[in-house]
Amino acid sequence: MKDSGTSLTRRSLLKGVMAGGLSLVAGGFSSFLGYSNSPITIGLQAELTGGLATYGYWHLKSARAAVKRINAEGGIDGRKVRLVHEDTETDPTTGSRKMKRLILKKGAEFVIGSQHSGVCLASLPVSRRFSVPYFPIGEATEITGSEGHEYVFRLNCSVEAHAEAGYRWIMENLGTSWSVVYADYAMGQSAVEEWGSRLETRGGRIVGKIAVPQGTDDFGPYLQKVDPEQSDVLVIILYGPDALACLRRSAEMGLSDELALFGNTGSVEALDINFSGAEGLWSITNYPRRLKGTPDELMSVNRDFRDMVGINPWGRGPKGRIVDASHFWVPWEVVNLLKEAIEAVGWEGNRDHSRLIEYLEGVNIPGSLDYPQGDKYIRGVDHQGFHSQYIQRVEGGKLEIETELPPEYSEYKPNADQ
Amino acid sequence: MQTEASWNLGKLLTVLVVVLTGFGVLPLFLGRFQVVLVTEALILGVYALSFDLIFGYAGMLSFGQSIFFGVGAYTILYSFKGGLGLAVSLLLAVFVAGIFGLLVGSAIVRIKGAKFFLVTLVGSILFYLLALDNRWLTGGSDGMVVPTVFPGLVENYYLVLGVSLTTILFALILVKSPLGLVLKMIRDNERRAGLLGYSLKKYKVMTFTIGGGIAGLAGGLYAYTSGFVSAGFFHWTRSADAVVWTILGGAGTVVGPFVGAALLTVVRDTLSAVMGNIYPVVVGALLVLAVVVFPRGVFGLLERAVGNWKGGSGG
Repeated sequence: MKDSGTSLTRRSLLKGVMAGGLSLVAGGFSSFLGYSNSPITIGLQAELTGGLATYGYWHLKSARAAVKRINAEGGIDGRKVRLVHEDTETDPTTGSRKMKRLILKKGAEFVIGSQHSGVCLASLPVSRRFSVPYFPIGEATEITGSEGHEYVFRLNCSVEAHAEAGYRWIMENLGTSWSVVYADYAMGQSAVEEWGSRLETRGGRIVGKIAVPQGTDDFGPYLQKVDPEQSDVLVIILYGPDALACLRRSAEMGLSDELALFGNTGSVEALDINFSGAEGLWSITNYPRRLKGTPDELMSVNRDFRDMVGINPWGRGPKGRIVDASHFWVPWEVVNLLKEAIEAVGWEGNRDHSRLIEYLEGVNIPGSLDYPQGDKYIRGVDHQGFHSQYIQRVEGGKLEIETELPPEYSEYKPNADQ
Repeated sequence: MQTEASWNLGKLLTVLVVVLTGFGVLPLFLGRFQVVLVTEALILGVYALSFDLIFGYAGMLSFGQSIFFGVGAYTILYSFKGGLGLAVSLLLAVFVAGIFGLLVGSAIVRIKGAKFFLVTLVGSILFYLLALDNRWLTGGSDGMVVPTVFPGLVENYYLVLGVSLTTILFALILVKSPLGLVLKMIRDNERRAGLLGYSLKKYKVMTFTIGGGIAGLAGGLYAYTSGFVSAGFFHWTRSADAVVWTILGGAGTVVGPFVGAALLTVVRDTLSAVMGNIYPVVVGALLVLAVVVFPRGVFGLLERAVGNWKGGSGG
């Protein structure tokens, strides 16, 4: 009688030995190639001190929450994820050195980048030299344009994407004659060029461009140059405390009664706008500060996402700190995108980067708990992401979402082929 | 019978062989990030040396070295964009920054004391603001990527080591030459040097030109190895860095600036990894300590220690 149960035959023994031998050889070969079950290391370049420290604080929380969730669910392809981070001190030279530290000392296989465009630009050569995929958050157009390369992917909108979506909306809803007050450094100058050139191409008019140095306390002398008779809109391209000071002074001077005020994405980012000067201000953002502004179909996943990061439905952390709503979701989504790509292409180590890059080029990303900001896609030619943007308005001291601009609304002509 | 001169030459050669061998094999014992730090420390040492020639040897407390550092860095950017090779680009960086040194020096060397310090400080602020405003040329605060081909970390290290050693050799020859002796005389007693018939302006402008050229070389190397430049390269705090490294390492010595730059590169990296931007506070404290406790810098301390040891062992 033939026993088909558990008895050990010569054939089954041979099969077992062969299988075991093969797996040992495979394991040895894979560890020879540098592949193993060791953790996957993701680096985060964050501004934890300096001018953009508010951003870095939330980026770190967001990345940590994403990694914690993935590890709790079994990791990526069975491998744990290790998050390492460095503080750029909001300085390009330091940021570039910290990028090297992340890669060469801490073993980062992927780096999620800084909010500071200068840090991102200084880090691009590092990413290319060490062939490490880099996901910058800074918005300078050149990052995925003239200075971009095959290892660089940006999930969030660039300055040009904001301008592309924003200028049309302003022209159609607020007016075609603008006065622009802007921060007189790279970010502000770049934004004013992008916004202004589009307006003028479509037959609009810039009545005045008013450059303001960073850290200006008194906006009176600058705002006196605004001509309310000639302008429909005062476009404010300022960041942080400068934006607040400008809004306060424009209210005192009565400009907010005579003109529509429109702020760029950084104008209300992480700021308390519950004061009379901010009332009525329109602005553009990547993502709503308040939970109630998120699309209905994504409300539930956004509630969970915010819970995991530690943000309440009003956009504040446990100690009342206001979130940088427009960007804090990026590290969360990049970590999840890496999980998706690694598992899809069977990435095991740095030698598989090319397959991972191919996967990311042109990828469509549906809104979900992994991607709570909503549907988006990465354009293959320049590795630039496009997603919905929102027009919001300060009403009764709160940011209310007025309209959602779909991803196609932001798409601009590529500046480079990566 | 061995003469004293041949005995000194023998000692010098021994030191040279030990140093060259030590630096030559260093990458074998370092991690990849440590190679980056040592490379950076060497470049910053060259930069500090450029200030030391002006301050430590000619007695001019200049806060304008960042001008030449920035000029050298942007020269590399544009010469690479123009298709020039590395060697020519570095020479061009020295030349262009040297010309800036000549022009700036000619305009300001007659100014004395605190006014000289203030003028150079304002000069570096002015250049920074110009770089910040002319974004089309400099990329402003965001900067620009330098189009280089990366040869590898160790290759970069040997390149920088070679340039640093050449610069040190050049500086040693310079300070031992009649020009160097005149500069020291000007530093120690300017009036006397003038009465002896030396043209103070000529020698000071010459020093500014050489110092500018070397700072340009450092800026060029920095831009090449890091792959980016920004208006921040002109910032006056970069001038202050050179002052701090030199005073801490030992002003008026060729090796001191390298010691200061290396020490503070390590301090900055260590502190920055654990406490964010507390570096300036610690550097301030170290500077006060240096001025009060060891005014001849770390290199002076080392020299004294070696002297004491030799005295002790000889006695």
